[in-house]
Amino acid sequence: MSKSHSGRIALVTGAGRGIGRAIAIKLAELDAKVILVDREDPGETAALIGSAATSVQADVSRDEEWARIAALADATFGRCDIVVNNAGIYPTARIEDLTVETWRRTLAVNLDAHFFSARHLVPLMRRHGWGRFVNISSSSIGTPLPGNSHYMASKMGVIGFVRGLANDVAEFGITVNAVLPTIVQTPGTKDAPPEFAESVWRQQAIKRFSEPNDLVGPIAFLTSEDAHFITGQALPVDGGLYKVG
Amino acid sequence: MSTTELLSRGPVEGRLTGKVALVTGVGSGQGREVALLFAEAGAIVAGCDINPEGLKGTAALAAARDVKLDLAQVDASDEAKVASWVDDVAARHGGVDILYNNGAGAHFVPFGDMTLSQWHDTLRLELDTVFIPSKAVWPYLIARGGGSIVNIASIAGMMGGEVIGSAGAAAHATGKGGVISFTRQLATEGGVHGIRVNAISPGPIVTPASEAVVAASPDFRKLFEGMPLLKRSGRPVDVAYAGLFLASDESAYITGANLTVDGGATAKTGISVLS
Repeated sequence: MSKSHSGRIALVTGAGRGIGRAIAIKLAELDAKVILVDREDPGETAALIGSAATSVQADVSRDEEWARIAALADATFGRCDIVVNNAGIYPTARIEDLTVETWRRTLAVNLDAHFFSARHLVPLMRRHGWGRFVNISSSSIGTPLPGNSHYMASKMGVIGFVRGLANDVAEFGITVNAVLPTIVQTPGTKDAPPEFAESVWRQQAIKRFSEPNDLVGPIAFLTSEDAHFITGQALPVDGGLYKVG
Repeated sequence: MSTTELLSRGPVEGRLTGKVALVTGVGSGQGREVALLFAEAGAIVAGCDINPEGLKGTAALAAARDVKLDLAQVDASDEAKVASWVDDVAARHGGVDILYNNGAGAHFVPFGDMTLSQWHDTLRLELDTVFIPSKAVWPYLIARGGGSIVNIASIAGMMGGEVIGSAGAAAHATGKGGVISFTRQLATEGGVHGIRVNAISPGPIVTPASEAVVAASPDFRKLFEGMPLLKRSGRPVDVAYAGLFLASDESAYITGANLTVDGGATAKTGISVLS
């Protein structure tokens, strides 16, 4: 039986674990072939998916790495239909301790990567007149905490970039949207004090710690044909944390 | 790109299996499309409309698409009638899981000509039609351990719009802005009961009702076809698929959101951070 993502090639960054892994597994279940990109070897995720997965070890903050990723997608599949820019970092540092290096690294991974992905993959999408970008922002932009100025700048930047890119590529049948998760229970957040996560999810309408699987339905929807008429939008998937318009 | 290609969508079978869904305003355009789609997705669908002729047309379409709809003539702004409709549906189908508040209406009049009675009547048509069915299903959703309410707002509730011809929209915009605020607050109050509440804000959508207006007026055509970034105007099916997503468990962690289905119209004109 044909599924919602049959015939699609979907690229997911940060696919080695956490949210990215859950997204890649879901898109593969929906019959997409998935390109797993991660700074570490995403072999564990690839093993969970099986033959529908292709792994690429790459640093998404570097433009030349994206040239390599795009060339691989083109050589292997001749196309790339879906890009989920999920990889992100969140080192905490108050302004007095925030180094130029941390600022630049956060902006590079969380935002530059989205630009590079579009630079190298829009041409592949244009060939078929169809494409989907889903870029991960953060619901924390509505509820900032100390020590996150660089992170806020990057995640607000994601929404700005999504809006702009949506305008540039609409005529090619490509949609671009942002998804805003709350704090999610992943290997990346496991070292945070439990009372910190709880202080966030207690503010939500849905009072439980978010899990990677909470993101997969919305991302499956936004990358499907069903969401054809939705572009340039920012969708919170945060249990109701974000409470303003 | 051909229209046919753009309108093709993913499989829906089984996405609402076991759910009882109430949809208001199913006698035309968007509500009709949603009711049919939810039924195709496996839900038991009870639909109402104030207009009996519209209901007949919907029943005929349901027969043609080989799905069952449980239809009733109800004014969604009539508290007593809505309450007895909801009680009846819940009794016959064993509960309620989904409420899709689609039915609405407005007086489109330039502000200088708008009377207080037109203002009040528009707010009744835009807001009472959301409050009253939500209130009626609330105890049933709590009894079920949760559910999903989807409210149809509009980008008119998010941004100002040019007056086309004599179609001023101050009351309509106020009502739809109210729907978005109501959604956000009700989501916060519903969380403890497992009730999710979300809005959809469509841009201009071409329905059988609006098609003639659009065809006859170059200004309306410009609004419907010129606003979206994507090079076509919106169709009821575009909104219906967003509704299916928000009604289903696929969006189980989304509440208080306003999902804009406008082909990028708001991304083009620029509004608040989230839209």
